[in-house]
Amino acid sequence: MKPMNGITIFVSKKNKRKIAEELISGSKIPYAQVEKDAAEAKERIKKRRMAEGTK
Amino acid sequence: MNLLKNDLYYCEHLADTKEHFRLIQKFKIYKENGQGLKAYLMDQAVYDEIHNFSRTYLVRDNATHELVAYFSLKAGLFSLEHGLFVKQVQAFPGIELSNFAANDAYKDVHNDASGIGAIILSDFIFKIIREAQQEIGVCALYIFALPDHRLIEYYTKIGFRRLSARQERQLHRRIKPAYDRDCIFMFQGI
Repeated sequence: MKPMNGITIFVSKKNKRKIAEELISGSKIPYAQVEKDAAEAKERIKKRRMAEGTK
Repeated sequence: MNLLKNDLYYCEHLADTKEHFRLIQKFKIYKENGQGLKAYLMDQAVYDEIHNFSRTYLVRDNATHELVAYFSLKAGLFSLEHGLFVKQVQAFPGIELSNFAANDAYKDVHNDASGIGAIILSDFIFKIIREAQQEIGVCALYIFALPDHRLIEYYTKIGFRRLSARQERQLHRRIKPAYDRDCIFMFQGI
């Protein structure tokens, strides 16, 4: 129960939880995909640098 | 002090050394709509760092120590409205990726531009937010993205999503800072 603008509103805990769960589970950072993209980019950069003789 | 490091780059706090204040003056962004990111780094980032409004990190090349990119993180909160007749607002604690830009001056010299964003996200930004999440309750990473369709596509590819048009309009009205005028709120759970 929270007083807001003079009106007491009952916020359903079940409803709040559902929205939070939807938010969090519906859109998680795709860690694995980004890590894979990063690993590929690092390999590409390292190969290019070695080919160019910069490192 | 090196905060984080991988095979190619390392990441430091802006305020770690005075050398950084000289280094950031060489930061370049060519795109017209990215000039705010350059201005932030040069004119505002140090003030925000000193007053703990935001943490700015510089990503530098291991071999040459050139400035590759920078990003800023700050704690924040966003809220969503729901309910047709009685509006209810639910707040979510999060981390705002408030600035994220590659240095065009570095890209001019090196042919390494492709994939830098993914490397920085994976090896630096994700590590920092995962550590923060161990200490304080944060459930989302969010951004106010420049209204550039290629950028929005890129952020979508790495997992950020937009709200419905109605929710987006409501949220922009409630919490979008003046600095992010015209920008688009995007978020993802962490």
